[in-house]
Amino acid sequence: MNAQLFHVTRSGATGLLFATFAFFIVPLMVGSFWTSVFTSTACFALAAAGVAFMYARLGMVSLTQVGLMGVGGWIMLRLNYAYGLPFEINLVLAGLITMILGMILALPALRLRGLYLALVTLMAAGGLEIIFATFQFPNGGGGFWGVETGRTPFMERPLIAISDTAYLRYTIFVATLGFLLIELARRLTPGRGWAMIRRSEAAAMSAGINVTLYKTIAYALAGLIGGLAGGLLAGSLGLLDSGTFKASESILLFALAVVGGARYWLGVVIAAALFRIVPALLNNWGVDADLSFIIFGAGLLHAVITAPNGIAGQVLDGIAKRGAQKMPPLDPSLITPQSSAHKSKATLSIEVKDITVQFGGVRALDKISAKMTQPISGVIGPNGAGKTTLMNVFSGFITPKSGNITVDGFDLATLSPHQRSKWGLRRSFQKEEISEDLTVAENVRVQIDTAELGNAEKAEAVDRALAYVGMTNKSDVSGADLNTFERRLTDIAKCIVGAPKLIIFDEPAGGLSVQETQALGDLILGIHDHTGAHVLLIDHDVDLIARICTETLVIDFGVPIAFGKSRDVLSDPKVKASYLGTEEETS
Amino acid sequence: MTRETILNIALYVGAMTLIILLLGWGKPSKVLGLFFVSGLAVGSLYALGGIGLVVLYRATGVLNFANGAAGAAGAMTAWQLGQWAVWPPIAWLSCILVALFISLAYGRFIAPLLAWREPVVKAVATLGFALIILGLVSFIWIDDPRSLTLPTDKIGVRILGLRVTVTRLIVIVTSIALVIGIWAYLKYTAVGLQMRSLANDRDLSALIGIPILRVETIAWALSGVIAGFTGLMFGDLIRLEPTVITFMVIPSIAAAICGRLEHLLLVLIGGLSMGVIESLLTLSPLLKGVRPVAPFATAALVLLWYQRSNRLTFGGGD
Repeated sequence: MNAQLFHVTRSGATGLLFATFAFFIVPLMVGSFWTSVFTSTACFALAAAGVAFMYARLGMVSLTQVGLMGVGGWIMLRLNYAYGLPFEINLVLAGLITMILGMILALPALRLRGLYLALVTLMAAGGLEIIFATFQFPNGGGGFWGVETGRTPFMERPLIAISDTAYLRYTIFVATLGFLLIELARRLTPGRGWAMIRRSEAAAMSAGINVTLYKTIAYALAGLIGGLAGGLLAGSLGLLDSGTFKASESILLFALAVVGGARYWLGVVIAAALFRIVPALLNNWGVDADLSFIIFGAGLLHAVITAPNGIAGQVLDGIAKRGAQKMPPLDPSLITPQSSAHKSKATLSIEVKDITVQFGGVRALDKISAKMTQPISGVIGPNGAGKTTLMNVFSGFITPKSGNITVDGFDLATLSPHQRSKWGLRRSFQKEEISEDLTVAENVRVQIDTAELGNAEKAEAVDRALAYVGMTNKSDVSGADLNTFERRLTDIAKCIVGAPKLIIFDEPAGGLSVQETQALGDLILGIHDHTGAHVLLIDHDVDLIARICTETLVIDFGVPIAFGKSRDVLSDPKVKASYLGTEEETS
Repeated sequence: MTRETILNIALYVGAMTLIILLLGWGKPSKVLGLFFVSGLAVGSLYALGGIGLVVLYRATGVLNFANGAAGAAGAMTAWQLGQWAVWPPIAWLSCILVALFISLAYGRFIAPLLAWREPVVKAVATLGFALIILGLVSFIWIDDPRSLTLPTDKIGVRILGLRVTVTRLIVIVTSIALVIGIWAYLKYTAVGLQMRSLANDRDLSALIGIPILRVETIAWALSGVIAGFTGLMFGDLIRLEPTVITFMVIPSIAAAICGRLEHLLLVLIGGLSMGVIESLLTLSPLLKGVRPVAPFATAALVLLWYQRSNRLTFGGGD
């Protein structure tokens, strides 16, 4: 993992080269007007990086970023004019206070998703815009709380960067640090968590990810970045104007990040260039700067319709495709589960007691009870029987109206969904939930990120899990390049990694061929021996259940029909009726 | 009526009474009335914008950020025709026609390309369209103080001893009439039924043979007309400036949020209340400055209230 932490990708190397070029060469080539344009471009690139990573890595739309920049700038000016502290301290304070504000803004956002989330951030931006317009920025006079009289307003700049050119370099340096900070977070635990959240919040929770915490971290990071950007901008200009920090500018910055390509550093730089350099160029040429809106708008429509990864995506993917080699898909017949150490581990006793779930007027589950003691148990029932609902009760996604589930006397309801993973509950979903932003190994690693293990132990556990499912040589392949079978195998690796106690598979063989289903069945059969965990298999494939489960619970329309040894249960006439539909209706 | 509804109504009435009492305490009732009515007029504009957004969103799943821009283009056209001394009714009509045309153009040619994307992406795309229109409009009509006046500005009616201009009256009455009209349209006409079906489940509606393109086109047209009318009224009552009218879509979204992007009556109530609160805040020396925050603060609180018991977990399959 550590080797990967500092691994420099081709795109990353280009980025660092670009930053070096911008740092050493650009300031030498331009006059004072462009120096200030480039400084502000670097500030906005930093701010745009904050929105871009939220959108690309978590799938969250934040329309407050320029407002947060304004907060950072406001604090920067306030501190500068009131206390005369060194620039660096002001900047760090501006960043930190904005970070806290970002976290406060995150509180309402945590309950929301998608469009509503975007709208609530827009409301926040609208509010900030008006607050800035009303109280103005403390530009050395007037303003909120006023400025000490008798003091000449003077914007303190860092000692090493008094001149405009040096300040441009300083800004580029801090902006580069900001980009690296985001990239670092992305490669560590938060990044893996974000990737899972982007894929599916349910899958993230059942992988042990505290979704609330990880989202708050993202907001904090975006706030910090925005605050720093605002502080830097204040340092460049010495004064700020509320017109710069309008809600509409926040929307524009987000839109341009999409145009540029939010996943890539280049996309963010393109966004900032469009935002700052294009209007300046148009102005220079004596063209109405309003025309830049038309360019932005057309670019945005183009990006949204045809290029989901933006301009940078088109450029960088084109470069990456050349020379990239694809591995051949995995052959299911080569998969043979190894037997291993745990052989004689005692089984758990899972007791489902009187579980009732009600959705409005629909009773999805009605007093389901079963005491499962076999290493591999099955739950079977036709479509709409309530199998997945039962599973969601296990996961903690649904609070039952009554009843509880205990494992060896321990009530699962005492744990939140993400704590259940740490306890040892694992699950797969009907759809494979593999993050396309992560490699196979990272996808598995997510599951034990919160476990109390050392880094080396975690890496070893991941290797073992991948070896069990036969995916070892694919461990560095990106989730996006896997086929369905390989995704299913990765899902199984996620379920067995670490120390699972109870693993639930929800139709694990969905979308697989007969041969693949066979191989998957073999793997599931071996799990108990391999890990000592109890397996609960939910499916409507009677053959699969009959082959691997020793005991089976049958439900239909939310009502338990039969429970017992699989052989007996599956030949029960009532069960056959609910499956094959004889004249005799079952209740 | 469920307990939830009763609770919401009680809470709303309580909060509004409290706000009005707090802000209006000790002020002569005439002053209070004046601010109340002017608040209702502004609020109606928010509500009108919100209604246009919601009608479209329900039928097509698109939250149209370009609604304000379409209104701005219309209002500027009306002003231009007024400058050329065109017969005023033609100028007003052209405002609505321009907005209608812009809305239809997007709905017919661009929106179908994004039909299967998630709502956020659809909304972001309309933003691109809004920028194009805003850029064009600001390019054609360079920044300059302008004003748009309607003959109804000069006619006043006395209601309960207060003089109210007919323009304000028109805005208030239209917003109420629109809610009733659209409600009846959705309830009693075939297209209305189809729109409700689309709002309920798009995929299923397609399967049972609802002519989606036709229904959507009607929705785009309807929202375009509303946007044009709103733009005209906004240009008259508040300010005739393309950027301002374009971004009036933001408080309109605030009103739409009050109706959870689906309930027109709630959008109306929300919009009117925001306008009234905003206007009454003028009476408070402390909060006068931040009065335009009212729509955003209201919307954010309402949204949080709606979502209060919503643990982000998953009912059915995820």
